[in-house]
Formats: sequence, C-alpha cells, structure tokens
Amino acid sequence: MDRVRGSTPVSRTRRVQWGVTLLVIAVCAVVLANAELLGIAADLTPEERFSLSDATYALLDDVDDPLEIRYYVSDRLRELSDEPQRKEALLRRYSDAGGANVRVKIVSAADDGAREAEEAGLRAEQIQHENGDSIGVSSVYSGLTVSYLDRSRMIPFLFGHGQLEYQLSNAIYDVLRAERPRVAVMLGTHGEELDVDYAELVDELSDRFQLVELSGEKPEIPDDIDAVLLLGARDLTGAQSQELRRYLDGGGRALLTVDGIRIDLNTLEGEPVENEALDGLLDSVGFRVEPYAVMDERSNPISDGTAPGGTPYPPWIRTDRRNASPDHPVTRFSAGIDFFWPSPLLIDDFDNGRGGPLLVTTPGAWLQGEPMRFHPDEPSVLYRDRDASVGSYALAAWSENAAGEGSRAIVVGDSDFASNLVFYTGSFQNYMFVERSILWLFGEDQMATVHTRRRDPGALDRIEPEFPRLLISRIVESLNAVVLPVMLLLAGYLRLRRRRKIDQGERA
Amino acid sequence: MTGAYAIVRRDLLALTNSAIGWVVAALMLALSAGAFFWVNAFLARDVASMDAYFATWPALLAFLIPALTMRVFAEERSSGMDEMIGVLPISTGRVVAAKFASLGIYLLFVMLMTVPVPLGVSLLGELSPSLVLVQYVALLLLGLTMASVGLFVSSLCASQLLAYVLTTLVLFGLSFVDSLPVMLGLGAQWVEAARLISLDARYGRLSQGLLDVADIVFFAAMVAVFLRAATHAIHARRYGTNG
Repeated sequence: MDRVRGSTPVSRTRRVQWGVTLLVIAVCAVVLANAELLGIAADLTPEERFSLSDATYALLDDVDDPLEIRYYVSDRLRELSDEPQRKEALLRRYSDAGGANVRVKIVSAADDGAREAEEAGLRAEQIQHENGDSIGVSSVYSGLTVSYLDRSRMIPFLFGHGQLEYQLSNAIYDVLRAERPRVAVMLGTHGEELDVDYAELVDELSDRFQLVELSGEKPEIPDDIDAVLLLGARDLTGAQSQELRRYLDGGGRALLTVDGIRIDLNTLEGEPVENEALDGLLDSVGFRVEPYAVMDERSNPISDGTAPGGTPYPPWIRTDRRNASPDHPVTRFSAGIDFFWPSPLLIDDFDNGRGGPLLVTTPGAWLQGEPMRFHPDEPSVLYRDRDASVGSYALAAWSENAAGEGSRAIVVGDSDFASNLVFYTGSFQNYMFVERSILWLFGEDQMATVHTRRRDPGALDRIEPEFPRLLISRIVESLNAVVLPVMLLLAGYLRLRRRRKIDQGERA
Repeated sequence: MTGAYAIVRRDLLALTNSAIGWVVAALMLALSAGAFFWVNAFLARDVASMDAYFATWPALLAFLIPALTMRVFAEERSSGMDEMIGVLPISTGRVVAAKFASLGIYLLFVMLMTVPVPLGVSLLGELSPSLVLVQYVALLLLGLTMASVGLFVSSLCASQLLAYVLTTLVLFGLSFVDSLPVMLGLGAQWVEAARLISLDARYGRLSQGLLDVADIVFFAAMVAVFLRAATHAIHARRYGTNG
C-alpha cells in the first residue's frame, strides 16, 4: 500500500496536537479580549476599591429617563497613562448597572471632540511626564459630562480614577433632582467672612447646593432650608445660638464646626474659648467641647516641618479609615479629615436620641491645657501634659433626635478643617466629609456611603510604645533581609560540601 | 508519568546540588527585603502595605530567573544529558512540562521563604490578608510566565551565557513593551494594545487586589505559548522534525 507523504500516523498526531494548541490559544485570546467586558473579577481589596458601591446601584435604579455620560479624553493621555482605560472600565460598569437608560460615550478630545469638550465647559489641564531624560508637559482633556432631561453636570478634570465613582455618582444624584437643596450657612467667629475665609468650600458646595448666608444680629433660618452649616463658633452670639436651637428643636439638621480654643497665630499661644451660647447649643445636641488642644504625633503626616528634636510641627492631626467609625454612613468609606488645632468633644449619654463618635485620635494622643503654647522652638512644651492626658479623643461626632424629634447634628471640634487652610495642605477630603455630612443630614444615608477608590492602608500602629516598635521592626528587617538569605547560603554550602565528600568517597 | 516525575526530581536535585540554586534564592530574598525595608524606607513611611515589596519583584525576577533557566536545556546539551533523556519513553512535551514543574516548585519554595516579610509587617500594622494573597498569586503567575520564557530561550541556545542574556532581554522587553510605542510616537491605540501584552502592566493590575480572569488567562496563555514553543524547538532537535 502506498503511503501519502505527510499523512503518517505520527505526523497526523502532530497536526492534531498543533491544532489543539492553536485552538487553546485562540480561546484564551477571545477570553482575554472580553473578560473585562464580562466583568469576571474578584475584588479582594479591603476598601472594595474596584466594586461599585451599593449606593451607586441604588442610584442607577432610580434613573427613569435616558441619562448620558460623556467622557472626553485626549489621545495623548492614553499614551502616557492607563488611567483612561481604568476610567472606561468603571464607566462600563455604570452602563451595565444602569441598563438601557444609562448610556456611556467615550469622546476623543481631538479637533471636534476638543471643541465639544470646551463648549461643555471642560478644560484642558497641563500634566507633567517623563520625556526621555527631561520632563515634558502636555495639555490634555479628561473630563465628564452627565446629562439627564434638561439638566447637566460636569466634572472638569479627573486626575486619577480614585475619585471617579464618588464624583460621578454625586453628579448623577444632582441631575436626578429637579431642584438643588438649600443649605443655610452661619458664621460664628468675629472677623471671618464666608467669601474670604471659606471661599474654597463655598466654591465646592455652590455647584451642588443653594447656599444661603445667614447674617445680621438676629438671623432667621427660613422654613424651606434643608440643612444648616455653622462655620466657626468662637464668638457665637446668644441670638445665633437661640435660633439654631429653635431650628434643631423643630427637627432641624445642622453641621456645627466649633472650637474649644483660640490660637493667636502671631504669638502661637492659645486660650480657652469661653462662650455660654456655644455651650448651650452643643448641650442641646448632646455634646461639649473641651478647652484643650489635642495632639497626636502618630497621626501627623500633614505637618510640613519639624521642630528641634524631630518633632512634627505644626501639631496637626490626620485621621483616616482607622480613626473613623465604620458604622456611620458618613465615615464608613470616608478617607477621614485633616484637623488643624482641634479640641476634644465630650459625648452625652443621650437620654433622648442617640449618637456617638465619628472620628477619634489614636490611643497615643494627648491634651494641652493652659497655658497653651505651640512655639516650634519649644517642642518640650508640646509634650508637657502628655503623661497626664494620654488617650483616645473624639474629634467629630454625630447625634440624632437629641434636640428634637427628627433632628440630626454632626459636630466637628475644629472650625479650621473647612477653611481655606485645606487648600494649602491639600486636604480636599475635608470637603468630601462636609458633602457626605450634608447628604446624611438630608436623610440620604445611602448616598453618604458612595466610596472612593483611594488606596488607604493604615499606619504601623499595632505597637504603641516606641522602643518595642523599633525593636520589632529591626528584627523583622534583619531577619528577612539578612538572616534568612545567609541561612540559605549556609544550607547550600553545607549541602554542597556533603555532596562533594560523597562524590570523593565514590571516586575513592 | 514516572518518567516525568523522575525528571522533576532530577532537576530539583540539580538545583539544590549546585551553588546557583542557593545563591539565586538568597539573592531573591535579600534584594527584595533589602529594597523594601531600606531603599523604600519602610519604617519611615509608616504605611502598613506590601505594595512596595511586590513592586520590586518584576525587575528582580527578570534578572534572576534567567540564571535558573539558562542551564536547563543548554547544560544538558553540553553534557550530553539531552541524548539520554531523548531515549526515555516519554514525550518531549512531558519533558518540558516536567522541567517547568521543577522550576515552579523552586519558585514556590522561594515565595514560602518570603512569608516572614508580611508576617513581620503584620506585627507592626494591619495588613489585608486577601490583598497579600492576591499579590502572591500575581507574583507566582509572573514567575511562572518568566520561567516559561526562560525555558523557551534555553531550548534554542547551546551557550548558557547567551541564554541568560537573551532571556533577560526578552523578559525586559515583555515587561516594558508598552513603553516602546510611546517612545516611537505610534499613537494611543498601539500603546493600549502593547499594554495588553505587557507583563508589568498585567502584574501591576493584579497586585492591586483585583483578581481578574483576563489577567489570569493572559499569564496562563503566555505559559502555554512559550512551553509549546520550547517543546517544538526541543522536538525538532530531538527527532529532526517539527513537534
């Protein structure tokens, strides 16, 4: 029998093997190209950074008419970073979760796209990037518009994908509402002006809420106000306090930023705030602010300088997920806030209503009472009262139904946290805290829990005393970088020596 | 199967009976931990995270895995061992798979030796166990992929030095392939396409804590392609025909 060349059983088997290999690779390629679209992934991050919040799903369920999200992105940005791809992946999840009513359109911001982006109010931002050995600068677009019925909102520029869900879900929440909620703002410290000392906050909030400034000797809170924001209360007047109490007794909602101390920035000395009107107001919602400064060295990465001896200075405090109450909507996914010269809050037992802390210090924090001095040349003074007062202190707290039925209050023991200081330290999470607080005050508990995708690992704070902490860290370092590798080399050397002896014995 | 097991055992013994196996393992441990604790100033940064630790591994593996794989086929060819294996009643594919398995076991052993790093860090601060687990999965997938590339290059080269240099170049190329279209100014589509096959980009995505099927399939496909190619190259040499 003649055999046809190339069709022997062996070569047929080879062809089958090659065919199977190619088929497997083709299947892998198809899955590879589509897996992201199918969303087959497990988010194992502690912050659930890659999953949509329940609040976002609930929000998208409420979309009854077509809602369009347009993402304008420059090709140059795609070349420089994979951020646009990450944003698009997240936007696809909005589209999937929202069904037919949520449309996502990716627009290349070149030529017509750039014109369209400019018309929509977006702006190109300059970003720095490596360009060979030098640093190059490119002007790129990466903004969003959200349109629903005749309403629209835009996010001018998205720097990373970390904030995208928070910003986009809040933008959708805003366009779904026919009217912007009304928020009254009251100032309680002499010499402070809303458009000057809180200009950044006003800029941030006025896009979302109708801000109504309450001024004058006898301010009146209108009936149609959804929430009140008290910014600073060192010089709160009796009339202001009375009006706020009347409002809260009637089931009102307020965010109160208060101080227990007053710092003179020229002499860097402090004095207690003695204000009965403030005490009465706080008492009505279940709190008291103590006349001390709180310091917490373990939570002080915001200070840009150090006092002699390596002491972080100024003694400001950064709180994060570890310091936040996981049970309250405002802080469940909050990045925490930065405090500048905070005072501790005492929380009532609440005969009426309920409440608790929102943000606390680490257990290593301490207080400074009178005479208060914060000069960097005297770091020892900062620690003067440490041994007598070390402990964990509440810096922000909440209460519900404490003043009147239906009332809600959030108190922050530092009015500077919402001031323009935020702009200088880059503490923009403070504004996010204000927004979340306002949403909770409105009763939008779930919206307050929309999370960010910011990576937020904790600090090395399991061991508080400095010496054992340092000792253990040195042991961990040495064990892993020196002892284990040397032991491996030693084990290898002994094995090779034994092997050589065996070989020599065999040869002999 | 017995033949494949014998090869796995023989290769593992070869690794432990040579200085290179121990030196590479010690270097992996010392350099990764040294970079994490001292170069990245772990204690001074005061952050309970293993991100910086796992970020050092791609470059480390790209230098050290070729030192392990360069000898796998090249040494056997120079010592005539490949002819002995050639007469074993075992298919070429199984030979390659067995050699890959022995490298995989070796990498697993090295990774086990690194477990004291997260354990030590967790004494000092709170780590997310699930995140660290995903980071180890990402590291294992990256290591296995790089080992398969090394096996393929070794199957082509008679010289160990050439195999080392070529494997290192290929691994760095595959890791940072997404930089090339940027340097050449080829445009966003090319950059995004290159990111799809970049080992570094895939490893970076996985080690953030998102266990994505796309990334796992990618690494599995890379391993399958390079092992198949190595089988093809060895078979062609063994029998003078295509595998």
